[in-house]
Amino acid sequence: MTRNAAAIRIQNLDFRYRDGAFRLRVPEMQVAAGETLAVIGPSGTGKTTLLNLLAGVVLPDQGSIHVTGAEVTALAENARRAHRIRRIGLVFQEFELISYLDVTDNVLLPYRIDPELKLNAEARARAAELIDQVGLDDKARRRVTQLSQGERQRVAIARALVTGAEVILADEPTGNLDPDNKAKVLDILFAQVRSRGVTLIAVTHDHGLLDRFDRVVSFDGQEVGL
Amino acid sequence: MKDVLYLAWRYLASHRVLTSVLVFAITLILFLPVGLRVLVKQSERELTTRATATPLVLGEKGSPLELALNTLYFAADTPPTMPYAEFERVADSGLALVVPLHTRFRVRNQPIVGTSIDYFDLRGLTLAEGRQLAVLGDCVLGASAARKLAAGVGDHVVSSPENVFDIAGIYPLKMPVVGVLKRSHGPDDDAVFVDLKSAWVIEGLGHGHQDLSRPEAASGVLKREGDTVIANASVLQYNEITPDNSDSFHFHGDLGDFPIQAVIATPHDERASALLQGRYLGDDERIQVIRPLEVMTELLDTILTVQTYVVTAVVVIGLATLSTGVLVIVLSLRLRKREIETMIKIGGSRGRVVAVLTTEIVTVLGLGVLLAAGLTGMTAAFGPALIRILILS
Repeated sequence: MTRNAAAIRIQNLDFRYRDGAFRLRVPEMQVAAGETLAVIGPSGTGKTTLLNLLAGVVLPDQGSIHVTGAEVTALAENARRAHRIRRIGLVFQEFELISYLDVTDNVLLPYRIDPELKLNAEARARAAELIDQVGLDDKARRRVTQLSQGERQRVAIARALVTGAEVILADEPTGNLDPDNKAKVLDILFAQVRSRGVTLIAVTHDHGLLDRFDRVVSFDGQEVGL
Repeated sequence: MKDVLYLAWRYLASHRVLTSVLVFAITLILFLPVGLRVLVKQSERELTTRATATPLVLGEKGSPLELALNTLYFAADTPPTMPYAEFERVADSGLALVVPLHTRFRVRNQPIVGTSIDYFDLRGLTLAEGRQLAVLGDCVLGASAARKLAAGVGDHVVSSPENVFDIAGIYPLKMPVVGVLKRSHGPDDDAVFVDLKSAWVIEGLGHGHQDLSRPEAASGVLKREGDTVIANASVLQYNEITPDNSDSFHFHGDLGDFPIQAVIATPHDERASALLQGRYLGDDERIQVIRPLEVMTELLDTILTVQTYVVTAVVVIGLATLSTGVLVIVLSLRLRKREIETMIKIGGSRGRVVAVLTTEIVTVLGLGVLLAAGLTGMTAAFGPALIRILILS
């Protein structure tokens, strides 16, 4: 994948919550494949909503969103879901791991909850490789509740990448981590993203991290022009 | 499907306590009414089958239930004794086939049933090995008694003393096992059968001892008055009847006064039955005649009434438990809201997520049903033994 091809393209996006209390408008936005983009701004300006729109979790009232070549806004719900689990990896501030599963099972979770993804030897090998790369190979069979916060986020990163995602959408991925873990997790995230040519869009409040990203977008109001 | 089962199993396995409690509750909700019904049905069969095959029982006046339970199952307390003459009275009437029963003694926990050969015909008991009772002191074991006493043909069993501290009490009698009965799946399996006279020997009414006319017994003789010889305790009494000493065994007193617990009477016809029962209706009559089927039906009615109350209580408790179970599941799903949302958010199929949750619930229900079915099966298998322990002991 080359940097020049747009992994994400948004046109005339207009989204408002049903109660009308919040509106997000993005007239134009493009993110190149393999680019890393930080989204910053005050709370309530629509950063997380933008991630949800890109993932196809919610649909805009107007406009179109293309992610990795597919027009997310034109897809039916099941197709959006399938596109999301196979092409987009999600990383959350609070990790959102399944507490009763071990590290390996958490990483392999997408294969178990999507009927089309086959949990075969290749998938298992990829999961093992990712677990190794995020530095948890010695804890592969440990329950995630027995891990530190930083380790849990590393499991979440492995889960986001296991299906071969081309885009990672990370919502404050270091928001719950101490400074040491913050740096370690970001190192791992960026190493994985850059080695695989994956596009990264990360929402963050931590301005100290911005110099790691190729580009930074600030959400100051409800209309974002990029 | 494999993935759905795996995720469901992982959840249940990691919440063992919650899962176990739910499975246990479901098992109880299902098993208690069903198992109780099975048990009552078996009680009905157990209590009526044998009673039906025992038309009339005569015994000393007292509790009809005690008399019926003791006669049919050799269970409950031994009823008051009646004189053997009453057996002869019925036998002489020619109205019924009669069988005497003496059930006072035991070999360890197995009842010794002193009776006549007719008892075996009445109950349709046949030998698996050995021979029938023929000589004073012989015993024939029921199939379970043989197993529990670890005895077979050629071995000996010893009657248990009623009170080990009573040195003047009844001496144990060592009896040769001459036969073992085929399994009949009834209380006869647990019995040690002896001739009625052997039972009286155990009771001390008949005995064998050293020949007092012989010189070696002279030191034990206190006084001789014509045919009467008075001996002291040094005279050797036999505690086993052998071919060598069997001639020395004798009974003191009138056999008609000797005790028996009951007489089973099978009247020849309805008329004979009515006549026989009519003979014992007088107010001054010491003997009662009971119809075991009627007594057992009354007992069964009591059990059925208790069953109704228990089932009602179980249903009410079951509904409350079920409601609690549903609440637990609903609260559990609420607690797992984020987990479910995460699965959907990362792209999990809604159908797959619902299937996982459904499988968890179905697995818990299935385990509960399986356990309840297993317990019901065990109740059905061990019901008769359980009934004997709970009702007939």
